[in-house]
Amino acid sequence: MSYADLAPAVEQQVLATVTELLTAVIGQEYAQSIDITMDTSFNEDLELESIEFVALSAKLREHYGSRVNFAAFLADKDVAETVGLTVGHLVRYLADCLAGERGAAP
Amino acid sequence: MTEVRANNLTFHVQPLSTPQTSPDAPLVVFLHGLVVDNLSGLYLTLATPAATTGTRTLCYDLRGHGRSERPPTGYTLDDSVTDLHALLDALGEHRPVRLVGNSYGGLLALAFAAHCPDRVERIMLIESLVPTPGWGERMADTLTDAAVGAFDHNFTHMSGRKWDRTVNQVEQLIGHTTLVADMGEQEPFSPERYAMVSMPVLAVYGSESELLPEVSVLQKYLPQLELEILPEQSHMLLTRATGLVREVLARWLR
Repeated sequence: MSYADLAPAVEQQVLATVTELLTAVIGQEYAQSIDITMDTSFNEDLELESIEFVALSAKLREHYGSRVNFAAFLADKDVAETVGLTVGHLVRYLADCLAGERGAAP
Repeated sequence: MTEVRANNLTFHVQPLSTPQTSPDAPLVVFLHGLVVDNLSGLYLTLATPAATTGTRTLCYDLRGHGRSERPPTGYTLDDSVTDLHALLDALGEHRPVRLVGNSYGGLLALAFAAHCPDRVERIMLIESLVPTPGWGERMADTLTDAAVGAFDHNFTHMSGRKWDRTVNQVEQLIGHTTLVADMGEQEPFSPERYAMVSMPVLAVYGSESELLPEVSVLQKYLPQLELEILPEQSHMLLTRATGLVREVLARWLR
């Protein structure tokens, strides 16, 4: 089985996790009013504050532990670029980290 | 861990490092500005690249800001120093740390270093306020302006939900705490207080910053001060010239 076969499944899992943690950050009521997909923008669609993005990244760090290097993902983006990301950008990065880990496993 | 009890308050903290970072690596603590600020600005601009260089980083929300507790009182600079001291103790950080402070956070870095110089290895100031006579009153005036809606146009790009929340934080702080009154009573630093700041200090300012004329005071009392002036930049250095400030930070961390 190659990475190409795994990718969609991993992405779906990660999207579910991101959606769940995002809902915890912004509140159930607000999250339910928006259909969160890979194309959802943190800034335009979710009107996510910077501090909420930080809270989300902390929850993701807790969830995935050392398998994901968040600092590296954000280190070259300024604030506008970061909050301008889509859910898909984040999901694909996380899925790549996890798939890479799978690929490295015996 | 995102909540820590210190000085009888609950603080929102965000430690960040990479999976490869040694627990013995030096700690850089980031200190944000007043009222329309919280830890996220420094986290998303400077803490993330700093973490990738192998240092440990810590951002936290000052009392009354972001997601930290907002008590009705205790908003003097000395209170901020006590909070930081208690926070480092609560986290078990007893070795000297590096401080990076933006605006009021820069002043807090200097005040903390004067209070316990053995706990600070070096300081980086970004557009730091300068504790000249009347600094607190000027700050209080600025805050009062902010409360009546005379925001820096920098914040007007915010969408509805963010704008509402920012306004709410300002209103809560200005209307329901002693912050403005506390600021109005702040004293300038004495020469003795400056003299306690013995460690290396790097100060970064924008060439167009309204604070630049006051920097000579810092230079007078801190002979070790290294000054870096970024051309064509204002007080909003961190958001407008993030890349340049990151370059300065990277050199400073080495």
